[in-house]
Amino acid sequence: MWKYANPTFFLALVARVLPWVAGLTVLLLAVGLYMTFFVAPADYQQGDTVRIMYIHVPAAWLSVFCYMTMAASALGTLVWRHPLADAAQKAAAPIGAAFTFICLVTGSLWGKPMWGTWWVWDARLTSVLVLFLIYLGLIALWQTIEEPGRAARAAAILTLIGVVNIPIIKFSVDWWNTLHQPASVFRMGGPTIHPTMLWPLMVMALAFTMLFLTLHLMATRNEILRRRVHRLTMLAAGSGESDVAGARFADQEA
Amino acid sequence: MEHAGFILASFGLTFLVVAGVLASIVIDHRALKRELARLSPVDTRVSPDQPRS
Repeated sequence: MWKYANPTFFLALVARVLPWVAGLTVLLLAVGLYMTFFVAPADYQQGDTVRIMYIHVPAAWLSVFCYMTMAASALGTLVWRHPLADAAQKAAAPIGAAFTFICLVTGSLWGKPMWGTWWVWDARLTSVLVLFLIYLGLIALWQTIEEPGRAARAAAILTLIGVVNIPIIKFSVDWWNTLHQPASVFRMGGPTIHPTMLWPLMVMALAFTMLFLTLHLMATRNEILRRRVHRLTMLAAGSGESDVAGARFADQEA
Repeated sequence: MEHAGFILASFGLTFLVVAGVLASIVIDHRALKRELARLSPVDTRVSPDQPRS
């Protein structure tokens, strides 16, 4: 496992798998969008507006999945102090914020014609908004602390504290009386959604997961390169140009 | 299609956000590679095991 977590090995792995992952993402998105607009039926009450569900629900799942990925990376940072865990965590935050933003805005665009309002301060909506604010807070934290190691540890602690919000998001519709509907896919007793709508939703969810994987691999690669640039810049500033090449070789061997 | 504006806005905004994230990552990657090339003036094809001139 440590071999795969080595930054140099990770860069080589990304170069090899990224075209395939990106290709699969495009294929799944194409199939999912086709099923969304041409296979899935309109809802008997909501009509075609239900098609917003095929991006709103996967975006909501990914906003939580991305956060759990960050929490796992935060453990890697705090327990094993692994540099790849830092990079993976930092890279995931803007992507998670983007998916949470999509979830909030598409939910609002779905809520206006169905509920008659853009926004209500109910438990589900508010807890997802809190998740979005946590993502923004983490991004700001990384930009505020200059030393990468300290920034990573501070962000890891904040990420793990923020995990408390995840069960609140999941169970908010059960614990409180909310305008948002309860779970209809991942619930005890199986999904209540009809298979003609469930399958397109599953394909879109898989497509969004692959999209996250593609973006996360690319962003993590950038974080590793950024650390190399930072290290080389520090060496060049401290020891003169002649040491820069040596640092590069040391970096390759790391 | 009923509420077409809401549906198109949802899908359009999702596309814009994802495209924006993707573009920012690609632009960042290009800038980092440029910076690495600038900081590593020695030919990168030379193996670390080979003697440097």
